[in-house]
Amino acid sequence: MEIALQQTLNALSLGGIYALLALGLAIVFSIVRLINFAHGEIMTMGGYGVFLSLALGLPALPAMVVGVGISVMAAVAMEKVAFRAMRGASVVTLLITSFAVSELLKVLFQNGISARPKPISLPPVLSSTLDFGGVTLPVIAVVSIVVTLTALLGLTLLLRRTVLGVAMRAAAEDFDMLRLLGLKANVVVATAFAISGLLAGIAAVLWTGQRGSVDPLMGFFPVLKAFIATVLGGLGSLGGAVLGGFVVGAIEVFSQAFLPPALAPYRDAIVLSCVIALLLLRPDGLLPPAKSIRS
Amino acid sequence: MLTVSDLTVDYGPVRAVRGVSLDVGEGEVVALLGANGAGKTTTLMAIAGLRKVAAGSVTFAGRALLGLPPEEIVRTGIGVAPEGRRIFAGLTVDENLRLAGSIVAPEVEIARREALLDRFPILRERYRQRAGLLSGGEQQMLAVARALLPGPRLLMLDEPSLGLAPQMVDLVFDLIAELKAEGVTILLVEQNVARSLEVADRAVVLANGQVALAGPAADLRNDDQVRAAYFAA
Repeated sequence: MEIALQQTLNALSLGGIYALLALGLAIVFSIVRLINFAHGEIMTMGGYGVFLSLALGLPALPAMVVGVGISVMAAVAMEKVAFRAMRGASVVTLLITSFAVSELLKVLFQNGISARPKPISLPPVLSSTLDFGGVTLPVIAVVSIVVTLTALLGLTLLLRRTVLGVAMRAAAEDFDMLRLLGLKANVVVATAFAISGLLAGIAAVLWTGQRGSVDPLMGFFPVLKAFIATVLGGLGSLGGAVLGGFVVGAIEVFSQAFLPPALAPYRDAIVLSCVIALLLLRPDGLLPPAKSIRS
Repeated sequence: MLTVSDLTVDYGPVRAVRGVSLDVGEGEVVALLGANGAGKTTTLMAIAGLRKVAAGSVTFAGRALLGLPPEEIVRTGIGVAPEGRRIFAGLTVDENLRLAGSIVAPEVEIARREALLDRFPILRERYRQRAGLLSGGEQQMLAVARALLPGPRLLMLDEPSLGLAPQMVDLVFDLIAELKAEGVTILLVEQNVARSLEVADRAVVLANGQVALAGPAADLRNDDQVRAAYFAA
């Protein structure tokens, strides 16, 4: 029972990070049709932001805020420098561009900082455990879940209640029409990137909190999982990205916890097989985006 | 108020609009007519900044529009209700209108929205519903209300009656007549030539991307060429 509860918590905390990353990918894709392969590097930059702030002597909490801020700035800068000139290009062209950005940044991290992991020491309270009615729960997992849910709630409110949020939903349906109403394309796109950076930054802080280090490939692997999550949820669907993130996280954690050790090396294969099986049942994803009706 | 001169627009490898000139004076309703593929919508979208223009010029209220992005063109005072209505189906009626009103001051927006909801009571009734659930005619009302909300000096309507039930078509043309009576300047693209010539002051007929005929609507109604092409018994 205790193990089941702990693993559920782990599944939710890992799934939450995937969900944040997948949501950032989905928001950008839904508006500019860009599958941003460099999203992982936005996350990695957040990790280095935390590392450098700590190295400069900042306390943990401000260092985390700086890390998130760096991710936001990295995302907005990436749009301005690399993607704005390519707006309206084909999905493939945009994808290749993001590959280039991703590779370039990885090389910069490797040569400019270090190819080796840099340790991040966060307050011991994060790595301690919580005694919850006789059940021991890791604090970082609880914190991750709370932070993820808060971020998701905040984003939902933004998308429902603010003009900019409504504009982003509208942009996902019909970007040109939004411009015909006088809303500025650059503002809407920059906001989408800023939000994706914010979510990636939060994911970076939670990830470094769980792993205790940052390296040039830190963002690469979780974002790979987040890609799977967005496809599983239905490419371009925000709710689907969140659901997909949690499903991928759950399959990963539970297969690690409950598979016989002999099968452990095949964990990723098993996760992906489950995803393929789900996609065979629902080819458009679990929660496909609503198709806009154009006559 | 709006002057289009020698407008030329390429649509892929095809020259869709070839040297079209037209002008719309303050308070006038000008109908842009022609068969399917004659270049009407392309002309309108080029004025709105959504199509790249190969040559020519567009001036509105003394300002050159070519080269401006659509959002800036709209902000000079042009409202667009495009072909196919293009309401945001996943957003509520309220949200569709709020977006349109977001480019004017909040007090102005509230007052104008109230006035538009009085004009289109059905939109008030369906205020919190998703716009995709509205009927075609209701969606057209929403598209027009959305275009009118910021208080444009020129309204461009593209095929507002297309695909609507006959009673709804009547309603749309009544609306255009009402707006005209209120002094709204309108550039109307339509396939329904007979009804358009009833409501318009002047008309421009396009064929193969060029102006085939232009003149007062009353003259065109009796023109043999127009009668032969559009009122064939």
